[in-house]
Amino acid sequence: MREKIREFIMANVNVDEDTVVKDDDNIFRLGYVSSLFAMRLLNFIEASFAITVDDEDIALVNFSTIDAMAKLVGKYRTDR
Amino acid sequence: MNTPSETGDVLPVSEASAIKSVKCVVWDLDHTLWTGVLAEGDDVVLKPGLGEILYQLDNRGILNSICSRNDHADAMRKLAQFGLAEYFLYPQIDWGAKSVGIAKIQSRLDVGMDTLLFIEDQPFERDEVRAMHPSVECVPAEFYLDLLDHPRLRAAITTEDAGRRRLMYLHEQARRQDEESFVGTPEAFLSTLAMRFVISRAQEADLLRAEELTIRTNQLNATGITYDSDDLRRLMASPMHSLLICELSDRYGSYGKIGLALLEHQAQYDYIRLLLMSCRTVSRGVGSVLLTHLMQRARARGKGLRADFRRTDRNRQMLVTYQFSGFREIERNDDRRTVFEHDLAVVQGFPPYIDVLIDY
Repeated sequence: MREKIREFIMANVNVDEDTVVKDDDNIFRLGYVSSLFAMRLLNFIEASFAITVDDEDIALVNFSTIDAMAKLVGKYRTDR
Repeated sequence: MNTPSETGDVLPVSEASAIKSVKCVVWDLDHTLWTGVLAEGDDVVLKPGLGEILYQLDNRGILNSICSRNDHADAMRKLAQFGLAEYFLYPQIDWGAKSVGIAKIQSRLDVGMDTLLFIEDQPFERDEVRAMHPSVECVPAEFYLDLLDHPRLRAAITTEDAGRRRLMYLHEQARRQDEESFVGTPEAFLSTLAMRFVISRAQEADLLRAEELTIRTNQLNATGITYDSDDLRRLMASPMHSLLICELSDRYGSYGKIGLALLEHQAQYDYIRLLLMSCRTVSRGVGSVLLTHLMQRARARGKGLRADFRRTDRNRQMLVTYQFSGFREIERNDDRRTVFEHDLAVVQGFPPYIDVLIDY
């Protein structure tokens, strides 16, 4: 799961090619992240892991690191 | 064979579609737009008054297209001779089924099927379209002179932006072609557009467009509240409020006035009562620009920033915009209304691919 998310981020955030985004890197500090990216990231997470994120969980803190996203996805997968 | 409305006939309007405005009129050509059959070598003649009807519809912001069985090149040449070719977006002129042509127009324009009106002289063709697309209103060609009085074709308001709608679709067509052939991230493509975003105080001339924005915008609308131009005029004059309007343009042309914010100035807080961005801008990554400006503005004045938000079935993207910008819900009332607040500790800058001008 983490690799899949990492791949998406590497392809969509403007980082140096030899930089590897670590699980606890805050992606919103790595480079400029647009509102367009935020929406695409949410759509990517929902489509890839077949979940629908509740309004309450649509927050920066849940999407700022690969760890946080993995945790979020995990929560929805065990909940329902 | 044409007996226009001398008898006082009114257009048959089905009840289901009586209210929703038509966004595009799709014209048949032979015996509808002109008399005669082009492919049979007739010297076709434009129906009387047709040029004026197209001009008026266009001016109301209603689009026009074509669905006709003809040779594409011949028909387009003839339309060019009449000086009408540029009125029609995505003309579907071939020998296939009309229902297929209609579906293509609907998908290219990205509008609802129930916002199309098809005008055609042959009952068979109308029935075929109706069978495949029941929500398309099909009008017999003989009623063409009544189109301008049709209740679904009356523009509620005519604004400068409405008159430019067709041009904007043409610009969008050019952008889309370039975007499809572009290699790289969407953000990288955006940086090739040379976008310019101007935020200014709404003027009298903007009020109708502002009203139109509150009515037409659903997805990127923070509250779903509509205001008419009188409400807006009053708020514009109020010293307690700022009504801001935004225009976006890029190297292809202007998107028109695409964003609106109503700010209420309280002692401690700037309060965002209304925030919306036209759906035209969804793929342009400008959704948070106006919000970012309001955050910077409040911080520079030493004020806090709060915002009304009402969740609707369609404005999830606006929720994402607020919550990813760092707003937090501080209050929740019934009927899905909430109040957001931003602590303004960290305020992001504008996207690097867009040039923002604060003009007030």
